[in-house]
Amino acid sequence: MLKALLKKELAQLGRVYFYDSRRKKQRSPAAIAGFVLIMLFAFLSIGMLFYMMADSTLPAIHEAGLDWLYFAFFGLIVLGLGVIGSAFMTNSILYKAKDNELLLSMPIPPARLLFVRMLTVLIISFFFCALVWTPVMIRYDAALHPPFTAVLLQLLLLLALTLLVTVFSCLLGWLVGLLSSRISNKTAATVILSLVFIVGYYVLYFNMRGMIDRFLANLGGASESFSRWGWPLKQLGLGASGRLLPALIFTLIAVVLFISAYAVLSATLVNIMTSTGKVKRSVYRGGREKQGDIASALLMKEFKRFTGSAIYLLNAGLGALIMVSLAVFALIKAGTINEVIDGVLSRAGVGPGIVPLIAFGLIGLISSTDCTSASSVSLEGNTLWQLQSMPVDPAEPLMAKLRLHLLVNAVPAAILALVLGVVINAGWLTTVLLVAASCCFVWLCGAFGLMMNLKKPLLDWTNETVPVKQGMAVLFTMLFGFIGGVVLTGLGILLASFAGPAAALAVVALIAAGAALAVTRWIKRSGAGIFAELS
Amino acid sequence: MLNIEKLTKCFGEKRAVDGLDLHIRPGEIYGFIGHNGAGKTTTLKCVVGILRPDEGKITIDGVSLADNPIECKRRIAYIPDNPDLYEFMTGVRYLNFVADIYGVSSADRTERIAKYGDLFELTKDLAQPISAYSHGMKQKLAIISAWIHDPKLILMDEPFVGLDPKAAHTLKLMMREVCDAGGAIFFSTHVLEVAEKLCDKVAIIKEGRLIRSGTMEEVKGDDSLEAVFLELEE
Repeated sequence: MLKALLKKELAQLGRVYFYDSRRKKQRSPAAIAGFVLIMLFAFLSIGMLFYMMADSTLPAIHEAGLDWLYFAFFGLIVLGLGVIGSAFMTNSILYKAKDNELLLSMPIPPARLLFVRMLTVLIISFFFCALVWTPVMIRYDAALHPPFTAVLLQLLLLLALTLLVTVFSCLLGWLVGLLSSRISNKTAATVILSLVFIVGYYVLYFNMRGMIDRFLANLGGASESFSRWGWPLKQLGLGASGRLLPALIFTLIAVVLFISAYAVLSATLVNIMTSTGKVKRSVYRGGREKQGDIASALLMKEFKRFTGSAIYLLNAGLGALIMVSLAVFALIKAGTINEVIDGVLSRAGVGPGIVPLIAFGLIGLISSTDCTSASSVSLEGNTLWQLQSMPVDPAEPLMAKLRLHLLVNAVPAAILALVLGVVINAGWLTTVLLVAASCCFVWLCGAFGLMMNLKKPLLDWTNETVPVKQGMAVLFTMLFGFIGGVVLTGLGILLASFAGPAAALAVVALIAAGAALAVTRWIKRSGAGIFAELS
Repeated sequence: MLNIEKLTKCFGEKRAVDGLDLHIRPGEIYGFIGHNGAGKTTTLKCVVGILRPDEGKITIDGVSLADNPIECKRRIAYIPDNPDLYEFMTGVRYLNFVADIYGVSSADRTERIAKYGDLFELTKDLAQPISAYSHGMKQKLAIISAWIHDPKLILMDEPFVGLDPKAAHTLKLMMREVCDAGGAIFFSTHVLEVAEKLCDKVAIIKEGRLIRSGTMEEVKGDDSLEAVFLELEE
C-alpha cells in the first residue's frame, strides 16, 4: 500500500516534468534533457552564491581552529531558509490535495497517507538543503582535503538536515492548517500566516551578509553561543568536520524529531483535511441583479480565482506587494537612498545616467517573480469546459488572464517606477519613460507567461501547488523574466552611456512593447486555437 | 433544432464516435443511451463545441457549428456529467457571470434567479461560496445556470445524478416546459425508466455507432426499453 501511495505521489511530481498534458504523451528525451539543463543552470547559479558566501567565511574560521563552527553556522542557515521557505507550501501538500476524500474513503490508514506526503515534503526539502549545504561542503573539502570518512559524514548530515527541515516545515504547515481551520476566512488566514514566513525569509536572506560579518567579527562569542544555546548544531558542526559520534548524535536527534512530528501530525490529519473552517453563513436575499459586459465578467472571474486561492495569491502576487512596499520605503528613505547611490557611483566612477536603468532592472527583476499569467490556463483544470462551451471567442478569456496579470503587476510597477523616478530626481521625461518601460516589461512577461502556459498546460492536477509552483510554464517564465530583464537593463546602460537615460529607456520600452505586442498577437491567433482545443 | 451528420471523433486509434447521424426537432426531448464508453459524452462535447469533430457536420437551429461556433453556443446550454463549477465564486456571483457572458438583461436574470432558485430550494444558499455546496447543490446550480439565458437547445450529460427526488421531478417539468415553448432537450442517461417515461425519442449508441433511434414506440415496440437495450448490447 505504502509503495502504491508513494508511486502515486512521485508520479504526480514527475508528471509535471515528464508528461506533455497538451499532447497527452510523454515528453521527448530532448525536452526532458532541456529541462534538466535549465534546472541545473538554476541550481548552479544559486549554489554559486552560497559557495561565495562559504568562501568568504571559511579562512577566518579555520584560522581560529573552529571548523565545526563553519558547518554549524551554515547548518543554521540551511534550517532557516529551508523551513521558512517551504512552510506555506507544506500546508498545501499535507492537507489540500483534491484527492483527500477519495484517499480517506479507501482502506488506507491516515497515518500512512501522512507519511507519504511527508516524504514528498522531504524530497522538496532535500533540494533546498542540498542547494546550500553542497557548496559549503565543496568549499571546505576543496580547501582542507579532509579524510574520506568526513565527506561521508557530511553527506549523512545533509540527509539529517533534510529530515530536520522537513520536521519544522511540517510543523509550521500543521500550525497554519490548525489555525486556518479555526478561522472563517481560510484564504486570508493562510495568506497572512504565509506572509509572516515570507517576510521572515526575506529578512533572513537580505541580512545574511550582515550576519556573516558580525559572525566573523566575533567568532569567540559565536562559538560560545552555539555551545550554550545550539548544542545540536554544535554536534552537526563537529560531525561534518569529521567526528563520528557527534554526527550520529545529530542524526539521531533528527530521526527522533521526525518520528515525534509524524506522531503529532497523524493525530490531527483527518480533522484538518476535512475541516471547512468556521463557515460564516450568508443568506441571499434577492434584489435586482446588474448586467455587465463579457470582458468585465471574465476579468472578475480571474480576479476572484486570484484572490480566492492563498497559494496563487502568494506565488503570483508577492512581487506586487514587494514593489508597493519598496515604493513606500523609497519615499521614506529618499535621502539615504540618494546618499548610497552617490557613494556607489563615485566609487565605481560612473555617471548618474545609469541610475534610471538600474531602477528599471530592479523593477523588472521583482515584477518577473510574479508569474500570474503563467499558471492561469492550468488553473482552469476541471472547469475548462465552461469557457469552452460558452459563446465567447477563445481569445477573450486569454485576454482576461493577461489583463489580470497587468492589473496585479503593472500598477505596482508603475507606482514604484514613478516613486523611484522622483526620488532619484530623474526628471519628468525620464520618469515617464521609466514608468512606460517598466509597464511594457510587465506586459511582455505576462504575455510570455500566458504563451508558455498554453504550450505547457497542466490541467489534471490534484493540488493547486503543482501548476502554480511546479509547472514548467512558471519556471520558463521566471527564467525569461530574469534573463530578459538583465539583457534589457544591460542594453539600456550601454545606450545611456552615449545617448542619455531617457533615450535608453525609450529604446528599452519600444523593444519590450514590440516583443509583448508580437506575443499578444500570437496568443490571440494561435493561442486561442490551442485554448479551444485543450482537454 | 439539432442536426448531426456523419459525426466522427477519434482519440488516437480509437473511433469514439463513428459516423453518427441524429436529428432533433423543436419540441422534442431526446434521450441518448449507451454503455459506459459508448461515445455519448464525446458526442455531447462535439455538439457544444468543446471537442472538434474529425469528420461530419453539426448544425444548431440552422447555424453551422464549424462556421459560426459562437452563434451556435448562444443558442444552447450544456450541463456536463460532473458539475465542476468555479468554486471560488458564490452561487449568485456564478449565475451573474454566466448571465453576463450570454448577455441576459438585468430584469430577466433577476426574475430567473428568483424563479429557479425557489424551484430548487437553493435561493437562500446562493450567497454561499460554491466550494461549500454539496454535489446535489452544485448540480442544481448548474441547471439554473443552463436555464438562465433561455436557451433553445439544452444538452445534458446524466443530469439526474446527485439530485434529490423533488429536484429530479422539478427538472423533468422544466425540461417539458422548454420543449412546449419550442425548444429541445438532448440528454444522456443510464436510468432507462426515466428515459422511457420522459423522452419523446431515444437513440441507442454502441461503440460510437448509432444502433437504433426513433420514437419510443419505434425503438422499444411492446418491450421495455431495458429489454431492448440489453438485447442490443449483447
